[in-house]
Amino acid sequence: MNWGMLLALFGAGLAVTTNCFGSSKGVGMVAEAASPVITEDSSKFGKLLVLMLLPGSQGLYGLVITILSLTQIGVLGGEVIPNTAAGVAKGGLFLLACLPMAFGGLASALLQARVALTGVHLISKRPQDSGKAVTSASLVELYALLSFVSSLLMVMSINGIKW
Amino acid sequence: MGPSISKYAYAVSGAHVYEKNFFRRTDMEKLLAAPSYEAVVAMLQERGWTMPEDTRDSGKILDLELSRAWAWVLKSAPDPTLFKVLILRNDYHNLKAGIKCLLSDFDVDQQFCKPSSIEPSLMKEAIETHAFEKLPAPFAELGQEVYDLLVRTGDGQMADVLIDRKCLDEITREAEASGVDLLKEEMEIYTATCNIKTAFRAIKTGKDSAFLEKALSTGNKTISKEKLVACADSEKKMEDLLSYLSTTSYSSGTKYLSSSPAEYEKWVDDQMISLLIPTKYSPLGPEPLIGFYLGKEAEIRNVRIVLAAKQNNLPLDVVSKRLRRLYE
Repeated sequence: MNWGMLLALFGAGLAVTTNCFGSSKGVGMVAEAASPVITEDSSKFGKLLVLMLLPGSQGLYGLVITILSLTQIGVLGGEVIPNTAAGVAKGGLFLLACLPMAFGGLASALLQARVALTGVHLISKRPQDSGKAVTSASLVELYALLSFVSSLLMVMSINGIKW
Repeated sequence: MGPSISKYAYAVSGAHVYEKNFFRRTDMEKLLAAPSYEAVVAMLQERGWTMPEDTRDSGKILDLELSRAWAWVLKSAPDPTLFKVLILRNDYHNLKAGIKCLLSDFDVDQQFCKPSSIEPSLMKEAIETHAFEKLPAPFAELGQEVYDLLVRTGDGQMADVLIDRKCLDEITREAEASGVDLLKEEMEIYTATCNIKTAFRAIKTGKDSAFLEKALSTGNKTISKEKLVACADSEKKMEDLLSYLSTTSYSSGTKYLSSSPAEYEKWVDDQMISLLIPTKYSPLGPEPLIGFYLGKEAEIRNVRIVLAAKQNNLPLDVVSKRLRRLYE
């Protein structure tokens, strides 16, 4: 059993799974909340669409981290992690590198969805304030981006570490 | 516990959309200023209220509108059973009205409150055929007990006491079981203020502590049943009751008890509504739906006052003072 490979793949899988879970739940919640508003006034769809899409970005970030990890561990390119003690450590590092995106993305997707929900209610009552609703929800995106950049830098640097 | 709060996304958003059509204070004043009953009905129709064939029956207009709001809650809420406590008192009212009408040959259909969790037709059939077992617990046992009591003794007051007490006990129990803090707080105010009203009337009419022990419900956290009961046996009775109430969170409403029962009712309704206002901005959870339904009830209560005022040509300034705080 190549434990190093297993840990690295677990990390890569975790990054995309948790983020897609958070994003699908978030987008689903906002879309559900938007449907009564659209039923009442379909012209608000455009404004609401931005809010519906916002919690979906974390799923994409997770996918990017996963693909990048796979290109570094010999699945989609790069060298396969050796089945040695150093290989196990390297696999563990890939797992750790994926964690910021896995959990930062999950939390930010769910919290962003909550902010977007309040935005849906705001647009329902005051459509002229849609910019404020989108800006508020976008603030949470910053933390998904920070998680993404952290994971990205770590995944890109692991192969450069001298053992 | 009910379902996860994220399941309420659709229902809460729908409630906030529906609420946009609720009357505000300024709308109420416009209704009040309308020249006639027919003009008020026309304004209600413009707001999207469904009208019965006979618009002269204001009770039907209001029942229809409240039932529509309730049906919407049942259709949209992920766990409708959580909200049944909000209409529990209507079921107990219907049981009481049904039995009393049967024994006094009144038309029971006119007396039923809507919406209710037990279909009025089932309630009517169970009472008319004396087949109380057709009703769900605890209505089956309670209905039989009250019917037997009325047939045996004709004591209408004791029948009221039995039903009202059971109603308040069940409301407290169901609210606690829901696990929703807002529901618990709302029902606490409702049951506690009912107990206060009962204690006040009982002491005023010279009832003893044994009567109060039977009449007052248990389980309130904001008032002590023991202390209310003890007032009936004390030397100064009413003074002691008012003095005890002044130490509770209901002290500001105590002054209305002796001056005007209608003002006391208004004070209670306003207290309940003020607790709901923060839910208007909640994006998730059952609380906005509780606010929606109780808010609709407050609106209906005000429209009832306005319609009654128009039908009876009551002075506007007097009626205006009776209008409740709205969910806005």
